[in-house]
Amino acid sequence: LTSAAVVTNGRARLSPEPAPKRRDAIAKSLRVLLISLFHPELVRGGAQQACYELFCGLKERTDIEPYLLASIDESAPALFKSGARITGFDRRPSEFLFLSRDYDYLWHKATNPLLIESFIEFLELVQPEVIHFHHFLTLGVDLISIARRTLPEARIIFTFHEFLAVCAADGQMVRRADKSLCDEASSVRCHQCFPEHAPEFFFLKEAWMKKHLSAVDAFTAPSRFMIDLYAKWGIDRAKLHHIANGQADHARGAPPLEQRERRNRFGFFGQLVDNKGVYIILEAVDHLRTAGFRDFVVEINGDNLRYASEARRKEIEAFLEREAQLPPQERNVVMNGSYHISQLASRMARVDWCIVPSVWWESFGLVISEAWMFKRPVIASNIGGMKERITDGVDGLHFTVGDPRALAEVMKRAATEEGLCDQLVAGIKPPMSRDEMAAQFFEMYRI
Amino acid sequence: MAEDHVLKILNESTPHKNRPGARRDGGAKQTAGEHRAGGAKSSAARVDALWVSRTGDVFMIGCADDRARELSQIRLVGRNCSQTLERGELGRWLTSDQKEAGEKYLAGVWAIASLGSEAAKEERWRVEFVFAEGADVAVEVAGRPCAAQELNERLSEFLATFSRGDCKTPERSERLDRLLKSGRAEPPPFPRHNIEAIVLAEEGGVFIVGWIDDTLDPLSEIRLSGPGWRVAFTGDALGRTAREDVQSSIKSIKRHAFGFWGFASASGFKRSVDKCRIDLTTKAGALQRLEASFGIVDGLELRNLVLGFLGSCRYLGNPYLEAIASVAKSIGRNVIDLNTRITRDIVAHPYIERFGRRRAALKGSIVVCLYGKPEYLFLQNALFAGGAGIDDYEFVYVSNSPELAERLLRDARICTRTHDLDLTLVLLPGNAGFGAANNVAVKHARSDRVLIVNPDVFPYDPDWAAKHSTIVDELPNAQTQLFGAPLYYDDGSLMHAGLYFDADVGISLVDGEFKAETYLRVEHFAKGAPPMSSRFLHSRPVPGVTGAFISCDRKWFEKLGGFSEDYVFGHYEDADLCLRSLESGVAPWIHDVKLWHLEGKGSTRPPTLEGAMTVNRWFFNKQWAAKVAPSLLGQRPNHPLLRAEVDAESRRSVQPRKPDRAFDRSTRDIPAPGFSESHYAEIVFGGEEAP
Repeated sequence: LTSAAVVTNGRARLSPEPAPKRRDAIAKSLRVLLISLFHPELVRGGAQQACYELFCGLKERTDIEPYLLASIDESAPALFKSGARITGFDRRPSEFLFLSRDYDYLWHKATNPLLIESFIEFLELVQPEVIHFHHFLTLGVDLISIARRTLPEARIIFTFHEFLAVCAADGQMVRRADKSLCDEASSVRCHQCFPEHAPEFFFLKEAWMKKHLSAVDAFTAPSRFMIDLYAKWGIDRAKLHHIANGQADHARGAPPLEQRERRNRFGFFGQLVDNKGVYIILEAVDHLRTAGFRDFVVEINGDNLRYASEARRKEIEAFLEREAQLPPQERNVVMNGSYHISQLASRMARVDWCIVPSVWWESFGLVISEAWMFKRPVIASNIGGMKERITDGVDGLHFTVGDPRALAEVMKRAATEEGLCDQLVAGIKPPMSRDEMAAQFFEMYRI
Repeated sequence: MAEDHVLKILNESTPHKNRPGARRDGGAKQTAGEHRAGGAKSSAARVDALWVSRTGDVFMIGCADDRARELSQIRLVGRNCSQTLERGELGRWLTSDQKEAGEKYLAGVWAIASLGSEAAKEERWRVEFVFAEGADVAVEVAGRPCAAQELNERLSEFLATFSRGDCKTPERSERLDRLLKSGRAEPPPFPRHNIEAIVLAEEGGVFIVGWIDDTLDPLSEIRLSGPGWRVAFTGDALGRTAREDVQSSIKSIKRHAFGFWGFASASGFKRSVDKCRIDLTTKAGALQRLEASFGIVDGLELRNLVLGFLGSCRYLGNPYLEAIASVAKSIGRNVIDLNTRITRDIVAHPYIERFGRRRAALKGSIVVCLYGKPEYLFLQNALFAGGAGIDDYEFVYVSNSPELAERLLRDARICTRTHDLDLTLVLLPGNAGFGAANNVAVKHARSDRVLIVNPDVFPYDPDWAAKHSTIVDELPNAQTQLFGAPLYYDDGSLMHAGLYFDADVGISLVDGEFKAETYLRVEHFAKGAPPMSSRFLHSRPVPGVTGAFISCDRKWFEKLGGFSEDYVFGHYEDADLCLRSLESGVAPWIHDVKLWHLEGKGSTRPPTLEGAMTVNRWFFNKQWAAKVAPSLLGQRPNHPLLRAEVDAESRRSVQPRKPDRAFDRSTRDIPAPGFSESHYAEIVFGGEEAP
């Protein structure tokens, strides 16, 4: 949709246009609109990747006609066409961009009436029978109510990717003062994290969120512990469903883990932001070297260090600088930088283990699935989605969250204990496939 | 009408020093009710000016044409003192009219009298001109208090203007000699002082602040004279404040309120020059004349400046009581006057836009006054929408924050698309305060019931609206004319289940003496009580309900005259409305339609708001303190209307009482000479030229 296609006077009611008639074979299919936080092609992140995997999975089915509406923000200014509020994307059929602007991050609300009008018109044009929100960030939680009002018969699904509806601290449920994990939001507890906001603000924000979420027919979350937390927060447990994030098998055709004498190559895959905990690995490396253990390597794959806190960023940069000063043979840490999903196989080929040292709950941990695709056991923090998915000693190893000494011990054991890696590799079950995920959602769409 | 002014306005009646005898507009004829004491036709007589010094000397200038019948006496008659001046005690002078006509007859008359200290207390005088053959004329005139030194100056200036033969001194001139002699005596030294700021708004008023060490000789008056205007503050009309900086600087041992400030509300000041003359006078007659620059602001800025200053003042005694005392004499009324004029201007120019589907049959209009926080519009829309019965209600939002106008219009548009409530937005071009804004919003409501709802009030139960409608439909009329509801804090405890009144006696130690004052306190029933405390939740009459939620029959609201608009920004309007309702025979009730009220964010109040609170507190107490006690005090008042069993219909015998206006507004915006009362000592326009 371009500006020419939208109503310029938002006060005039749009007369809904009938949905485009499709050929009989397709007309029987279920029209599903997926609404995503960002397009993974433009901004990488777990939520958008999961949504896009689903979109691709649904596209492969003949009984579903999927559409994707992905938000972008001002980080991609070239894609903001003058006067447009919703546009297509790079000639991809059925993929559209929601050009988010003037977003109210405090209340998670769209504030531009013309954007709302465009969204309403988009719904009226597409006439989805299912509207599947994968987020409200950059879109507006009130879009759920607007969708309900615009298409009262549509089934609305919402997938939680973290706790943004509950937690103002980026939905991470990590307390801001001491970085401890939080398992329950309340007006006063949230006020303690944000002293600039009175408890009443959080009371209202909860009411505001729940009001709009009440228009949702069913919720999904990729982890069971998330379901427990949302049920505790007040979402009807009967509406909450567990569907794991599925992915295409990027390991297809990749050679199996090569036989090696020692399994001492560790890999980190992900963003270099605080909550992903890469600094825990670097501290563990220091501990290991101090203890005289140097026969290992850690390969770091990822970027977005600029989004880390200043203190952590400086800490990581200083470590890497020191590391670069060492003779090559003495270096234990290698910085590989960012990677595209197509490079995953080559990056995985360089490691025996994956480390997921996140210091927040990790709602799912796509990187665990990716490691498992390549039959790499995972060493992970013993909390949340990581704890739920990885069984210690069966398909991976746990360490105490946030404790670099504990990680150092596990790394040393992993690198030195003969047969451990192969034993854990044997315990790895294939992660949820994209098709399987699409099938599970299809069942949910049809209820 | 106001009755507590320190002094009344005097009109300019001083003969121009260069044109003695010139009759001035606003002279005695405006303030004096001339009448004939005798039956015989007499010659014309008038009084142009009558000064009274603190020491009891009187200097009168007037005119009495006695060519037909000789003037034999003039009697000066006050309430508690009088004096007869024989013909030999009267001076004569040539009026400008006669001079221009080329006449030599001295029609003007002047006199000096000494009546003692009682004379200084007199406000009005009766001047009786006694002519031969009993053709007397009596003139009522307001005396102009002045210091002894000023009286001397006036007299000297008067005498100095005449050419030889144009003025004749009294044959008996003892008093004149004494006065002129005393005038040459060294005046008492003027205390140390400083005028720190004078700020003026052409259509607002004038504000002065400074300090003076008047521990020994109290400040009695400050006169400001500008181009075509003059304002005088008596000492009592000034607020006095503690000034530790002054105390320390002048090394004074005695604790004393060295600071002073005054504010007079008026329109029509000229700003052709930015300087004015200041005359300060002490009780002992010391006079200090200064010239000072003044700042110019608009009326709104002036109000906020005054309130901000008031809110940041420090006092020697109990700050609560001393702050009220400082505004009680004069400043409070002047602030209310200026604020009312500002408010009137604001509410006269609203911008109104309606949104959403118009409902045909409405059970109520939810009126919400927004200020500073635009998010409450979309939050209330979201949280009220969808509840059972809400489609029977419209929402009228009135905004006191013009800077939010665009945002509110945008949000209202989005709300319409999201919830489709029946919504009207009334945007005001300024902050009109709670009372005036709600009153103007009610005018745009379309139903027979208005629900005054704070923006931070939200439904406790989804079917809140349906419950409210049931109450209005099914309960006796007398119980629903005006009612409130139990309100809850976000923490789940009760916040409100009706208002009651209590009285506090405050003690303040000033100048070594205790002052005790009693002030009304407005309290909430059930504040912080467990949520389901049944004693607070059942339907019952109460002394008042909070303005956070008032459901009121529209006709009754209008008969009561709506909210009082005299409270600055907002506070006490709810209690004031309820008390007027009670006084008019309808008790407020509480009915169980629970709501959340997220009152109290713990935010600090800016000094401007603090100052407004002081004025409101003073005004509310002035209006109601005497009426509330004793039948309405306490949690169990014995007022007959608050007994639930009283026959509802018997309550309706009294005519609704509209809010008392702080003063007669029809005269308040008249800057010209001639209005009879004000709230500072004196204000005169069209007077002397700028110094």
